[in-house]
Amino acid sequence: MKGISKLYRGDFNTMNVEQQPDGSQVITLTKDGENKIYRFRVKNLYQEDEEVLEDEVLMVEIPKHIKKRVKEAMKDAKTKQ
Amino acid sequence: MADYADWTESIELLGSEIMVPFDVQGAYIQVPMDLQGALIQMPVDIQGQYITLDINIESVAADVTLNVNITASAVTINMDIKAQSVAIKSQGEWSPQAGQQKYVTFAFTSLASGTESYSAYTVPAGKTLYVTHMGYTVFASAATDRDYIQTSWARIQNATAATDLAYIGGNGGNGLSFPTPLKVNAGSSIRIYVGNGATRNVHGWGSWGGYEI
Repeated sequence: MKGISKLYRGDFNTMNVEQQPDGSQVITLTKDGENKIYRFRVKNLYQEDEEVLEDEVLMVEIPKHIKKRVKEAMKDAKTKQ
Repeated sequence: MADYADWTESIELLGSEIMVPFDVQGAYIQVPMDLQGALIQMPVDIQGQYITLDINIESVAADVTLNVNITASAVTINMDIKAQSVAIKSQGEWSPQAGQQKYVTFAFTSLASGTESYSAYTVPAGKTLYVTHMGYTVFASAATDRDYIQTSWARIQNATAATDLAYIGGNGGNGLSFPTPLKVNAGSSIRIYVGNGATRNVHGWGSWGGYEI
């Protein structure tokens, strides 16, 4: 229930909602400085019979090859100074 | 005011290097300055080759409030800043740096003609939401229908107050920003609706953004 809790606290900066054919919504929340994506599927959001059907926290990581290129670019810039 | 004798205490310091440190340390420090008079002037004239006037206010335990209250029949504030870069930010500009920004999007598919889809968000206790922009886009669900006009609309609503706050419409989408942000109080629910005015089903997105403080 981490995602829905974040939603109710307003503890996020971006919110993406996908309406599903069955009437449920897949909601994705992210927050600055947190390398996490809170993704959950909820039915009847904000209604009395609200029900969270799925709930997961995904880690966001910069791909290794990008990290490597950034590191090289920074090193390169330092060398030229 | 009682009739007291005039009193003047001038402090004049002349020298090639002058330092007047003012160092106060204590558990509770108060430095009140209460000036009352018919005419009060406090000119501060600083001239020099290198000038630094630091005002550092830091509170680790609580918020800091710096109130500047001016009451007068007329107030003029002149700011003449000549510099290569100056940054004076409004709340909306500052909010992303303070982590207060909110960007919300929602996606829907196969929205039938004449119907609406919406997404809701309820402002948490102790917060106020300010919406600075909204937008939407739609396109025909069937690829063969995408050359047709996609008449559509969006509206943003304070659902708790059952009050629409703004409308936009267009062919396939539109966007709107609010110089005066839409204010949504704690506990109120905001909804963005997107409507399909075309004769065929549409897919699409709606969005709004702003900051919550």
